[in-house]
Amino acid sequence: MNNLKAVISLLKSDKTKERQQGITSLREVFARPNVIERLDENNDGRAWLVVFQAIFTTVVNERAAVIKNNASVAAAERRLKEAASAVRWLTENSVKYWTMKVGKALIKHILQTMVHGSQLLAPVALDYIKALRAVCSYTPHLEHLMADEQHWMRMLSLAFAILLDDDLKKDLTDEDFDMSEAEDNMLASSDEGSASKKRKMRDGAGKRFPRTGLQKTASPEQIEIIALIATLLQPTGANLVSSRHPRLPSAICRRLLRFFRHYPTETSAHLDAVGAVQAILGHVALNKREETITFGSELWNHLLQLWPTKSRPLKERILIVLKTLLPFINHTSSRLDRADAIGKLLRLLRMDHDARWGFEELSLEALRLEAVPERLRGAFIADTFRAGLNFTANQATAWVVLELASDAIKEVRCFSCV
Amino acid sequence: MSESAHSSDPGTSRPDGKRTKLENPVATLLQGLRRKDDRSRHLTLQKLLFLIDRHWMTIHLELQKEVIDTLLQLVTADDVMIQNWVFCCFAAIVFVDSTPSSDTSVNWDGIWSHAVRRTNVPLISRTACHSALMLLLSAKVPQIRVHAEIGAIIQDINVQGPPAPYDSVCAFLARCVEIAAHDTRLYRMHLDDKILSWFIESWSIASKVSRISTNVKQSHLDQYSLSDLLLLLERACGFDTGSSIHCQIHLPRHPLVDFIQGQIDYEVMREFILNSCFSNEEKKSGCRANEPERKLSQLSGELVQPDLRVRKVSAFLLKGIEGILADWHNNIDDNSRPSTDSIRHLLDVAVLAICYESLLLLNGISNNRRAVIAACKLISAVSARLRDWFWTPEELAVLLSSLSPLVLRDISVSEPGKWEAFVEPGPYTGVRSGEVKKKGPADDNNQSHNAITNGLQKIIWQSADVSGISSGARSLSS
Repeated sequence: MNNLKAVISLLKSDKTKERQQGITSLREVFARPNVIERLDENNDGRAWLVVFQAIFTTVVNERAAVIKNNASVAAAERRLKEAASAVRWLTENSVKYWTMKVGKALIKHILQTMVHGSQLLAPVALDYIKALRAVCSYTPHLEHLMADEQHWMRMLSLAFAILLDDDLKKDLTDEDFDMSEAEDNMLASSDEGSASKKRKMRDGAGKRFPRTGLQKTASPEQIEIIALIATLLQPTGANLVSSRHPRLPSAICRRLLRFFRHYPTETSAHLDAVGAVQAILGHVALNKREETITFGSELWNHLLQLWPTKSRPLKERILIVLKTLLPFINHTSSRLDRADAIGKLLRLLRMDHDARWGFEELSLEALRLEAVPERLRGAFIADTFRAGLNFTANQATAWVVLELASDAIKEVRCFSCV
Repeated sequence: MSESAHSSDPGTSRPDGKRTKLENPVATLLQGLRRKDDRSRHLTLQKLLFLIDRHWMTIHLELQKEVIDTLLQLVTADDVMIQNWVFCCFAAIVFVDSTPSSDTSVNWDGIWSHAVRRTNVPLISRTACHSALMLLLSAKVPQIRVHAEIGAIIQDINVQGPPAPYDSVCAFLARCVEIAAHDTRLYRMHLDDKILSWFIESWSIASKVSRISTNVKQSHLDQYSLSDLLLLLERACGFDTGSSIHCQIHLPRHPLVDFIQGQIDYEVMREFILNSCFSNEEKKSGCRANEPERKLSQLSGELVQPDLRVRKVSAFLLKGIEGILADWHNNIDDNSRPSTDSIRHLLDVAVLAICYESLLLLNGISNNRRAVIAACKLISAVSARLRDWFWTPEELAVLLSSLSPLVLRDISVSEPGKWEAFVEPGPYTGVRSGEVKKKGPADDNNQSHNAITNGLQKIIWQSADVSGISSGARSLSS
């Protein structure tokens, strides 16, 4: 314990050398797992709070030095990065051991520190986003967070703003509708060649801060942040569709659409992006028909473009989203050119026949052939065959692809009859 | 045909006058099937199969006929895989098609001959029997032809018959025996004896377990379940009361499976939200009306002596089990874990024996208690050793589900998560159930199925030998 007290006082000091020493000692002390487990024996979070607040002091001091922007700013940036990294490291290792009281303080600090004015603070950004993910990946904390609407909304707004290189002070709910719809239409009606024009129009500020927008590949911050968004949107608990925030679902949908427009080709961020789409559809598909139809119609072609991916997990997620959206985009109020859209899907599925990285094919050995009695209905049960004893996850995937193909064929048939 | 991939933006819709000239996708499928150089025709056939299963009624008659004609041309293809999927498609069409059998424009006879001729070809027999069974159930082929061909196949079944008692093969042969019972000429041919000999030959218990394989890669179970084997045995032995044991099939654990389950659960809501209607769940089909009504026959007090057929089957099962027990300890290698399928096979044999002997009692025939005792001994021996090895949860589920016919009661209850459009009348709705017309024969069928399963299980567990093994099995599952 004496050790710890010494570390804490080092962290809180005004001298940079002492602070650096504090960080190093912190890492040494908490490198042992039993220290982490035993720190908070009363289980009320106070001990952790003390430790974290000490590190926060360090970070704040270093941050002030960076922002002052005098001669030794490079060294200050390095120290700031180390401090942020220490925060992340400690969070990842101890997330299961503290109560949400600590979590709330941590999140508050992160949200305040990460942002400077309306831009992201580069040295801390990646580590702090990872720290946020670490907190949210522990389900009890996530559930507490979802109950605390204010923090959760702030996190989500900030996350989307970082993802799309928006003004970080913008909130999801106080939308400037005319502006953003006009933006959307502009983006929709031009192709990638004029991306640079738009960049000049929207971007303002300084050079120190990471330029994430409108580049071909997603930055590490963006990759982490989209994973965070996917976690935050999970259907368990979060009440996205409520009368308190009538515009929230469509705001989220629009932002996800913008992501797909900015990054039409596959990047490492797309796996979680499609995961986020899956999550939001879980909320809106049965609650907001028109939103889902609009969202689906706009998103359809982007998804099809990602279909020929070599990544199995991504393809499976796209399959789920396509299967969810198919009945919606077929609805008469969809503005999509349905025949064309579904025709494209069929062509892509046809091309999968020859692709080496397509899904495994359905095998007769995994099926049970019988005249299925009427009382037996359920998943993976058709009229004359059903999943059998050797039915693996790969076979399930093959089955779903075939269901999607047959439903798509039926829909196109309806148009070509006319 | 269609436009290039860089078509217009998703946001704008086309004015109606310039509608894209579309190709009929079903025609595209069929064209793909006719091209002999295409190596992925079986994949196209799979898509066609799902289309038939889910949306056959949305295809108009001429196109349906075109599909059937294309399939008839393909059925003679060299590739075995293509033939298999073609037969699956035929089976699906026959099941769903509700045109009256007097409509001779469809060549059901042609399909029947192809199917029947291939029931004994090793790699195709399973699917060929499947199509043939569907044709029998839907009565689309005239009886005279059916009788002639059935007689011909089963006459020679011991010389050239299907290679193994697969699911569809058992169901098909069971149905043949049923038909034969109603025709004098066929009855005199004693087809049931021939089928039983074929079964005993083709389902070789001993060879499977003489070397318990230690190949621990992905478990590969046979394509039949105990309910199929028991169905064949009970028909061939001419029992009045059949069984309906439940063999559990597990779905893999995967987000996709959860997703599909969710889609089914919420289907009613989605239909209503999108189309403002409640879909009619009663699907018409050519085959369904023919599921025979099952009744628990009333037994008189005394038990009848078993006839030759029954004794033959009992002896076969007993011999198999005693053979396994004798070699059990020799066959198990202490150092390596046996594979899931071989252990499962042992348990299957034992459970089949128990079910069969109990079924005899259910039908008022005295049974062979030695067989039951041996089967219980086998289950106890296997369970005792199972704890010596490590099994993953999936493998353990496979092994334990082999005991499901003994314990599972009713899997036909509609799934707990599924949303229904309307609530049944009952105490919470204010509508007395007596005042609403009953649902129909389906419900009664359900109840009689359950009654029979309960009856069989009662008999199974009344036997002292079987109750003895339950303690062993209980300790295994803990």
